[in-house]
Amino acid sequence: MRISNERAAAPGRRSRRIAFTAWLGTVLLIYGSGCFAADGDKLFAQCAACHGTRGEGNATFNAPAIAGQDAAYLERQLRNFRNRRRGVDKSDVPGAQMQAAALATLADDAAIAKVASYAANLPKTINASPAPGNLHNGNNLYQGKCGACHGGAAEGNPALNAPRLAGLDAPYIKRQFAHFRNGVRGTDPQDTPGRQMAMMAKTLPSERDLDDIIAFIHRQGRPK
Amino acid sequence: MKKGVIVGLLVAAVSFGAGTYFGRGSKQDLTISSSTQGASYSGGFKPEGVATTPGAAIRSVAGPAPANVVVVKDGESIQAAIKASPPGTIVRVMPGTYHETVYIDKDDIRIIGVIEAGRRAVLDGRKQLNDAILYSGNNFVAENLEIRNYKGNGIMGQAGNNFEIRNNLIADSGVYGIFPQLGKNGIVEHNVVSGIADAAIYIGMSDNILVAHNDVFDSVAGIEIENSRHAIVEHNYVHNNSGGLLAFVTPGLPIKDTVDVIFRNNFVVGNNHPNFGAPGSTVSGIPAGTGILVMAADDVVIEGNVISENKVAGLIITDHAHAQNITADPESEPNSDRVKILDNVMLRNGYDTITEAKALLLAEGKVGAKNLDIVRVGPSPGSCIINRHQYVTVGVSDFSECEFTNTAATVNYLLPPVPPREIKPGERGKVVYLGICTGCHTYNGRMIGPPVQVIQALYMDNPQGLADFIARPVKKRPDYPEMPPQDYLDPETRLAVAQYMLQVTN
Amino acid sequence: MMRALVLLIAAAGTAGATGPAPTDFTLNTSCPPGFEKTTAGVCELRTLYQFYDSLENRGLGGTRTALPPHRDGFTPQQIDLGRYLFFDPVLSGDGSLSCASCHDPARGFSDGRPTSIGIHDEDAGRAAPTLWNVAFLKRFFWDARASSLEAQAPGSLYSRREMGNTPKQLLASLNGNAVYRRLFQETFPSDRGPITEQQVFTALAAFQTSLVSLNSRYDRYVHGHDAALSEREIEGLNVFRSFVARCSECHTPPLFTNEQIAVIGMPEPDGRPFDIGAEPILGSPKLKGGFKVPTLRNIARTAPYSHSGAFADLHGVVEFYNKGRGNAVPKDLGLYLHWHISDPKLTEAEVDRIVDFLGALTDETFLPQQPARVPSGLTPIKRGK
Repeated sequence: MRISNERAAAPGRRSRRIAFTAWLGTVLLIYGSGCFAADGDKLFAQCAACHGTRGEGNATFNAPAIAGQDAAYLERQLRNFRNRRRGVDKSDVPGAQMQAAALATLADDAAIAKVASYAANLPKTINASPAPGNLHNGNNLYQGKCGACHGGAAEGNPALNAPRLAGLDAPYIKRQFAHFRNGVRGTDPQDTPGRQMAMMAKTLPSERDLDDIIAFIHRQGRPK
Repeated sequence: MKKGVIVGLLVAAVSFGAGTYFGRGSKQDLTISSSTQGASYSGGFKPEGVATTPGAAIRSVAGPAPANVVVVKDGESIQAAIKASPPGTIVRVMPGTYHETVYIDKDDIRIIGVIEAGRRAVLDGRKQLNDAILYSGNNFVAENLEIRNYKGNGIMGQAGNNFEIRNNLIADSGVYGIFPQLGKNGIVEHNVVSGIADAAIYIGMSDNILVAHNDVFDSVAGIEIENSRHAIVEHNYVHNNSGGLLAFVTPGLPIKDTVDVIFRNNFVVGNNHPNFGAPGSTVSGIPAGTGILVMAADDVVIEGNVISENKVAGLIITDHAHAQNITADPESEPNSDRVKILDNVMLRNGYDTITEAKALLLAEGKVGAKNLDIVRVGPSPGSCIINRHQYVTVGVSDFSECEFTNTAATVNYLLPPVPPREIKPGERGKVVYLGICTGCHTYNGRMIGPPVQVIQALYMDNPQGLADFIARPVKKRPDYPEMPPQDYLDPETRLAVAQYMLQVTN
Repeated sequence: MMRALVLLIAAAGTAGATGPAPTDFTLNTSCPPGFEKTTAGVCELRTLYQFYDSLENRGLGGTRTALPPHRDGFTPQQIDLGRYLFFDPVLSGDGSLSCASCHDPARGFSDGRPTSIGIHDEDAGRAAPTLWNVAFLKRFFWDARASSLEAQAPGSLYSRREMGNTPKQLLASLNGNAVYRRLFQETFPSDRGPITEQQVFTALAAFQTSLVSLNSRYDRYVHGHDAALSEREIEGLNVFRSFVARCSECHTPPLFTNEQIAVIGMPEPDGRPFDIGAEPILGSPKLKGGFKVPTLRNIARTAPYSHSGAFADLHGVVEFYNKGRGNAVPKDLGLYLHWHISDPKLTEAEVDRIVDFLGALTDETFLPQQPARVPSGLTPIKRGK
C-alpha cells in the first residue's frame, strides 16, 4: 500500500483522502460484483462510479469526462495505466488510483476496447461551469499551440492522437498540463503522443495563459 | 526588298565624305603585313580560374555523357520519353517522323538522333506546330536531328547553359533555325540550316559561344550574334541569305551590348536572297546583298573570311542612328566601336549596290568603282584595318592600322562544363523552409498550416517521417486546408528541410 | 478561391499566438514569411531561385534562372511600420485614401479599376500596377519615371491626382500622433528628432519589398515538380515561350518581365486620349507610347489590364496581341512598335492555353495581414469607395 503511505505523509490533503477512501470502497464493491462481465456497458458501470453514469466526469473524484472521447485515445490511456506508463510518478495520485482501477477491472485488451468504445459512444458532455479568463488571449494561444492537433473547437482529432478537450473540467486540464510540463506524464519512450504533448506543454509562457486557454476551451460546444 | 539600313545615309555621306576624302593628302605607299606572322589578338575574354592553353582547346561543354539511355522509335513520342526520364538521360531517337513540340525543363538531357543509311529522325511541324525543341535545362545536347515545317523556331533555348547543338538539318522552320537565348557556354556546329524567315542561327543575349562549320543559306540572315559577348563564328559556309553574318546590338533588350565577336575563316558568298523578313523585324531592314553587317557591336574582329558576290557590300559597319526599324534605348551605346578588319579575301562584292552607297563612293572620289567591299557609316571609334588597299572601301580612311594581324592566340571562348553549384543540404533545407514552408507555417501561430512548434512536437524524433509526409501529405485537420504535396523537392532536400524545420527556434 | 481562404484564415488566426491585444500597437520583431532574420537583425529573402544562376546576373532566362538583384535587408520593425503606414489613410491629403486604396491586397495589390481614382475622385490617369515582387524592380510607374521605391513614394503621396498630400501636412500629422512617434522611434532608434519623410519612404519601401510571390504552381514546376502544371497549362507555357507568340521575350521568367520599355500600340478605352507613356521621361520620340513591361505574376488577380485598363480580362489582352501588329494604332501616330509585336495567328485554343498558363502564376501565400486598426485611429481602407 504504497499509495496509503504516501497519503499519510501528506496530512494537508484531507478531502482527497476522503475521496480516495470512498473511491476505493466503490471499486472494491464493483470488483466483487462484475469483474468478469464482458460487455462494454457492464464494464462501464465500474467507471461510472467516479466518471459519472453519463461519463460526464466528476472533479471531486479527480475523474475527467470521458463521454464521447475518442475511443483510440481512451484505449491508449487505459493501456498506459495498465502497462505502468501513466500513473507511475509519485506526484500523480489520481493517476495511481486509475492505474489500480484499470489493473483491477480490465482483464485484457479486449475488455479495454469494449469499455473504451462504450464510453466513446456516450453523448458528449459539456463542462458545467465556465472558467474565467481572457478569451482573446486564450483563443490566440489555443489556435497557435493547441488547435492544430486538438481541433479548432477543442473537439479532438483522432488522426493526430489528440483527445477532445471540450468538456474536460479545469482542474483536470491544469493537472494533466502540469504533469506533461513537469515530466510526470509523456516521458515513456513508448508513449509518442504523450511525448509530443509534453514538448508542447513546455512552450506555454505562463499559468495565466493556461487559464485563458481553458477559458477558451470551455466556451467550445456551448450555446453562444 | 528593303534597303533600310542605309536610309538617311545620303545626307550623312556627303558631309562625311567631304570631311575625310578632300582633306587627305597624296596617295600613301602600300604597306603590306602578313596574317601568318606578327602579333595575335588575344581576345577580350579572360576566364576566371580556368587555365586554357591552345593545345587543350575545349570542344565539348555539356559534360560527360549520362549513362541512362532511352530509345524512342518511330510512332512513339519524344516528349513522353523526356517526361519519364530523370535528369541525366540520353534520348536516342530512331529514324522516323515525329510531329511534336519537344520541351526540356530539366538538366542533362541529350536528344540524339540515330541516322540509318541517311535516314534521320525528322521532327515535322507540318506548319501547324510552333517550335520543334524548347529547352531551358542546362547541359542540353541536340544532335543528328532533322527539323522542318515549324512556325516558330527549330531549336530554341531559354537560359540553358553548356549546350551543344550539332549535326542537325533544319529547313523551313519559322523565325529562327537555332536560337539559344540567355545561355552561357554553348556550341553550335555542323548544322545545315535553310529557309528561315529571320536568322538561320541566332545567338541572342548569350556568352561564350562557338558557332562553327555550319552551312546556312536561303534565309534572311545567316548567322546573327546579338547582344552577346565572347562569340567566335568560324568555318561556316554562309550563302544566299539576304545578309550573311551579323553582329548586332538590338536596342530595348535587357542585355545591352555585343562585345568581342570574331568572324573568321568563313565563306560568305552570294548573300543576295530577297529579304522576306517579317515587317517590322530588325532583319527586314537588311539590304539584300550584304555579306557581313556590324551594327553597334564592339570589338568585332573580321579575319580570314572569303567574302564574295554579295551585291550590296562585303561588309557594312553602321550604328543605330543609320539603321531602320531600330528603336531607341538610352542604355545601349549605339556605335560600332573598335572594329578590327584583318586580312580577308573580298571578291566581286557591291556590284549592284544601293543608291546611297554609290553616293558615298562618289563622295570619296571613287568614281567608276564597279565593286564595293567595305562600307562604314556612323561613328566607329578605335577601329583598325590592315592591308586596306586590297579592298574597295568607303568610310574607313580614319581607321588606324591594327596592332595585330591574326587571332591565332584565341582558340575559342568556351569554358569547361560549369559544374552545378554545390549546395550543402543544410543550406538547402533552410532556404526551402524560409522560401516555401513559411508561406503557410509560422513558428508559433496558426496561419494556413499548423504552427511549426506543433510540427516539432509531432515529429520530434522522426525527421524522415516529416520528410515523407510533405511529399504526400494526408489531410488530418478538418479545419485546415489540405497541404499541397512537396514532392517536387528531391528526397534529400525534403529530409534537409524536415531536419531544419524541427530545430528552428523562432 | 484559395486567396479567399487565406484571408479567412488570416482573419481567424488574428495576430498570431502571442499577438498584442487589439488596442496596442506593437511592431513585429520577426521577419515576414520568406525572410530570414540575420544576426545583424535584418530580414533577408530566401528563395529556391537563389540556387540558380543567370546570365550576367540579370535575372532573366528560362525556368531555373536566378532572379534579378533585389532589395531586402530591412529590419522587421521597418517592415511592420511600413505596413501600418501602407494601410493608414492619414497618408492622404484628406484622410480618405491609403496606399491600399489603389493597391489592395485583396485585388492583387491593384484596385480592379481601369484607371485609379485619386483624391476628390480625381482620375489618376493610369491603372494601379501590382506591388507583388517590386523588390526586384529598378523602375517604377508605368513610364519608368522613378528609379527606386523611395523615389516612387512621393510621386503618389504628393500627386494631386493621387493621394493629394503635402510633405508639410504628412509630417505634421505623423509627428502629431503619439503612437507614430513611438513606433518611428522604435524603428529608427538612432535618429533623434521628429519623423522625417525619408523615414516614411524607407518604411513604405521596407513593407513593399516583403511582398514576394514566388511559390506559384509554375514555380513548383520550375523546381522540378512536373505535375504541378496541368497538361493545358504546359501547353500554354509552350505557346507562351514559343517564337510564334513570343510572350516570354519580354515577359521573361522568372519575374515575367524584362523591365524594358516597349511600344506595344495598345488601344485606349473609349474616350481616353492617346497616352505617350515614357517618351518624355526618356526624351525619345521613338519611345512614344512606350510603357514598362509589367510582371505577369499574380496577373489573374489584377484585371482589368493595360496601362489604362483597356482589356477586361486576360483573354482580351492575348486576343489583342493575336490580332496583329498595330491593330489598334491610329494611323497618324507613327509609333515605333516593338519588333516582337508580330502577327502570330494563334489558334483560338492556343489563346485559351496562354490564359490557362497565366493562371498558374498566381501565388499569394505571403499575403501580409491587414491591420485591424491603424495608429491614426482612422478606418484602415482597402479599396476606395
